[in-house]
Formats: sequence, structure tokens, C-alpha cells
Amino acid sequence: MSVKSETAVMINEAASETAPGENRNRIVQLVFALGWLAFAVLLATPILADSRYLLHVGTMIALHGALAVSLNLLLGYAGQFAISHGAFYGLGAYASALLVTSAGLPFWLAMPLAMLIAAIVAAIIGYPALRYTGGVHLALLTFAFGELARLIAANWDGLTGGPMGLRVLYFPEPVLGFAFSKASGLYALAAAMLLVTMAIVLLVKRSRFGRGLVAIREDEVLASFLGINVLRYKLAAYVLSSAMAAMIGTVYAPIMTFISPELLNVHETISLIGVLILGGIGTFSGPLIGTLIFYGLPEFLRIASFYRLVILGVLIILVVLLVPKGIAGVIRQRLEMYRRGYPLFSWRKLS
Amino acid sequence: MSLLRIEDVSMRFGGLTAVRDVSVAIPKGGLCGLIGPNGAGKTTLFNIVSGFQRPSGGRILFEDRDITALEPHRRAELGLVRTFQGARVFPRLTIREGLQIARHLSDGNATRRPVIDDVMAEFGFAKYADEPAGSLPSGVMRELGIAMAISTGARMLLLDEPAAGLSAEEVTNLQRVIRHVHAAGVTVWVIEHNLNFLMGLVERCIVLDAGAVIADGEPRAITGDPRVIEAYLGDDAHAFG
Repeated sequence: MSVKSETAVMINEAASETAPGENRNRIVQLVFALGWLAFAVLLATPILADSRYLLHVGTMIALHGALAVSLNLLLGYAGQFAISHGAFYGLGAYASALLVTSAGLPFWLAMPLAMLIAAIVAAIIGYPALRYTGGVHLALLTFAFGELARLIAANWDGLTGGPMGLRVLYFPEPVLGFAFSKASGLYALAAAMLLVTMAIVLLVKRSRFGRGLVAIREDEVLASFLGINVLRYKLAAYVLSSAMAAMIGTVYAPIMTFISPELLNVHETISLIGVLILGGIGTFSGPLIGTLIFYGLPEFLRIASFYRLVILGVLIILVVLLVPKGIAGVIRQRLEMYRRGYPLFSWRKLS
Repeated sequence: MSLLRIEDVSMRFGGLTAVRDVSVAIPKGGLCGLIGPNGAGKTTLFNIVSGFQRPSGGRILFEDRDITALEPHRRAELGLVRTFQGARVFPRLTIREGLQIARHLSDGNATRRPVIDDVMAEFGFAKYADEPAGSLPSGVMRELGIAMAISTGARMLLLDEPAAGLSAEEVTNLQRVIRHVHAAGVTVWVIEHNLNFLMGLVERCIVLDAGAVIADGEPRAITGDPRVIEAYLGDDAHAFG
């Protein structure tokens, strides 16, 4: 065979390889597009269906989804294991409720103030805790802070109402004529929280800051020798993630019309970590998928909340054993393999 | 003008002195080696220069600025970047992602432009671009470590035993990469246990034994130096003994 014809064969092979490759690219893009379309439809359903029940369930799922998304920034991207997310959620709820009811501030001013308080508290806890590599200090200190916050909420009767909790009798003031006093308005508010946290995480993920966080998650020492200020980055991620939790907490108060120290319970954070593991930690859609399964599925299957933790426990064990990257992690990996020319489904061992 | 100056640096761990009153100056644009038998204090010296460890005494100057107390990320910001023994890359991230992270300091910063702008093409990484770095052949992994250091906009590289455990062919490739980086304008200081690797590569060699500089000069002159022969033979004799 002459050199010329050999080249021709190679070019032909290359051409026949690119054609299905491009097809597969398009199919993968289509799958992603369909996924986000399904998300949009789900998000719109409670409003379009106009059912009080769906609005209630949707509100709770949206709030928990927002919490999971904001925790994923810290746990999934920066790789920092803090268990104070529920505490900052509660802090935001209490701080804003007190600022509105006791100090008489408008809700929309109380929200940024509550976030600022959370950010300052997070910086004070985070600075000593994040100086060390490995995460034990962070986990212990943030756990201790959460318990401390819960005990303060439960025992400082004069300020917080103690273990009986606090009734919340206000709604956020209307914005541009859009009222938040009805179930649909409150659902829109919760959905807005979800979209805002998603937008923030997406911006971070695509920024230099986000890439620095991933570098720290993968190898702190190498990251610092490449010029990344590891402590400052970890601290920024912790402060940002905690301030987002507080923001979500501020809307929780008027939605539930009641807040109690149970809100700050560490179980809330542990459940959120479970949601992240289930959905796929460190993936963009993982927290949404995890939330939908953990908070949505039991609701629609009419399973009492008592069994929810049992089901979650079993699911998490199965996920950790079979698909350690979580549901979104597996989907992403499968699609990536498919894009490179492997079959979409096979019994080959994952990971 | 010297880019890096080490002045009377010592490092003691309890009763052990790992580095003893070392003074070395590396000129701008130099391609130098640092050799010595096992335990001579080579890596400790690099750890001190890169900020991994604080010396017990003495100081480090980079571009005439005292950096002795600066943290590693600040030194990297100034343009002094090290690589690690073996290859330290982000094993779960792809080459593309790793290089993108490494451009953290230089991206959008005109004064820190990397000397080689398109390392992906010039280092021949394109065909591996989307593979996780942990799955690369070890020679390519070492090259990636150097490429990442370059991408930060480094002006001086400290390479810690880059050739250890590589095949002859990989060693040749690595030497070519180091020469290429040096020719592009980066000052390079290489630790190597293996004399042969350095002989054809560097213009000057500093020899460390028991924490002190025992010789400093052209590679050819070094190999004939009785103190160097003594240090290496002594080490070998011990190994056989």
C-alpha cells in the first residue's frame, strides 16, 4: 500500500469517527437540556396547579434545595466538612425575626443584616478552625457552635422565647406590587431563594475563586504552592455558604410562621449532608436531585416522616456502596463515557 | 545580579542540624543543580526556600527582598515556585483543569504572563487534555508538574528530584523540557541525586553534604573534586558496609 493511500485510509477513519462523535455530543447536550427543562417544569408546577398542598410541599422542597445547594459550595467544591449549616439557617431565622418584631425593621432590611451577622459569626468561628488541614478541627468547632447556638435559643427566654419558640406574624413587604402574604407568594419567595443560591454557586464555580476551591479540595499543599491563599479561600467559602444559609433562614420564618430551637438541631445539617451524598457531592445538579428524592419522594409516596430517615439511611448506604459519586455523579460519568464512544448502559463496574 | 540569595541559613531539628550555615546565590537566568548524598539536606534546603519550613537561622532573599517569613503562596505570587519529589499533581482533575487552576495567578495579570503561554501545545499535552492527571505515565506527570508551575507565571523554578524513577527515554524528554523552560527565561534550580542527569543539563552545581556546601562550580570540575568523591564514596561504602 502506498503512503498516499494509507493517509487516505487514516483520514477516512478519522472522518467516520468524528461523525458519530458529534452526534453523541448533541445527544448528551440534549439530555442536559431535558434535565433542566424538567427542573423548570417542576419549579412551575405548584403555581400552575394552584393547589395549597403542592404549594406547601414545593415551598419546603425549594427551601431545602437552596440549603443543599449552598452547603454544596462548602462541602462539595471546597471540600470543607463543617456541620454548622443548620445553625446558620436558624440564626438567620431568629436574627431576622427579632430584627423585624423587636427592632421594627422592614423584612428586606432585616435579611441583609441577618446575613451580615451570620457572615461575621462564620468568620470568627472559621478563622481558628480552618487554619488546620484535615478537617477534624473544623467539624468539631462547627458542631460545638451549632450546639451552643441551639442552647442559647432554647434558654435565653427573654430574647428567643426559649424552648417554646417564637411566633412570626409578619410577611415580607411586597416588592414591585408582588405580595408575599399568600401561599403562592411564599412559594415564589422560596423558589427565588433556590434560584439565587444556584446562581451564586454557578458564578463561583466558573470563577477563579471556584477553581481555587477545587484545588484546595484536591490538595491543599499543592494549591498553596501554586499561589493560592488557602486559608483566605476556605474562609471565604465558609462565610459565603453560611451567609446563604442565613438568607434562606430569613424567609423560613414568615413561611412557617413559627420558629423554635429545633431548627438549629444538628440533624438538619446531617440530613443535608445525606442529601448531598445521595445526589452527588460537588456536582451542580446533585443537591437538587438529592433534595427531590429525600424530601419529595416520601411526600408523594405518602410515607410518614418517621420512615423518611430510615429510607434515607438505607438509600445512603446503597449509594455509598454502589455509586459513591452519587446519582448526578454517575449520570455525568455515564454521559461522559458515552460521549467518548462507549455504550450508554453496560454492566461494567462503575467508578 | 542574583535572583535568589540564601544567607547563612541553618535548620535544626532538636539535636540534629539538617542544614548548616548555607549561603548560596543563584543568578537570574541560571540553570543550576543541587546534589549530595541521601540525607545531605537538599530537600530541607528547598523546603526552606519555598516556604514549607521556617529556618532556625539565616535569611532568604528573592529579587533582593527578604522572603524568610513569607508563606508559600506569597512566594509563588512573587514568582518562586517549586515542584515536589515524585509528581504532585491533582490526580482526579484533568490536565486541562489542573493547568487552568495553575493559571490562577497569571490570568488577567499582564505582569505575570507565563514565559510559555500555551503549555498545552508546547508540552504536547493536547492528546491527554481530558484525562485525569492521575492516570498519566509518570514521565508526563512530572512534565505536567513543571507545566503547572510555569503556568503560574513563575520566574524561578525549584525542581525536587524530577527524574527519580523515570526510564531513560522519559529522562531525555524531561531534560528537553527543562532546557526549553530555561531557554524561555525561567531560572531553574534542580535537586538531583543522580549526577549523570545533571551533567549534561546544568551549567553549575552546588554540592551539599551533611547540611553544608562542600563544593560549588561547573559540573566537570565537581566530579573531580576530592571532597565530592569522598562524600559520594563514603555514602556508597556505608551502603555496602
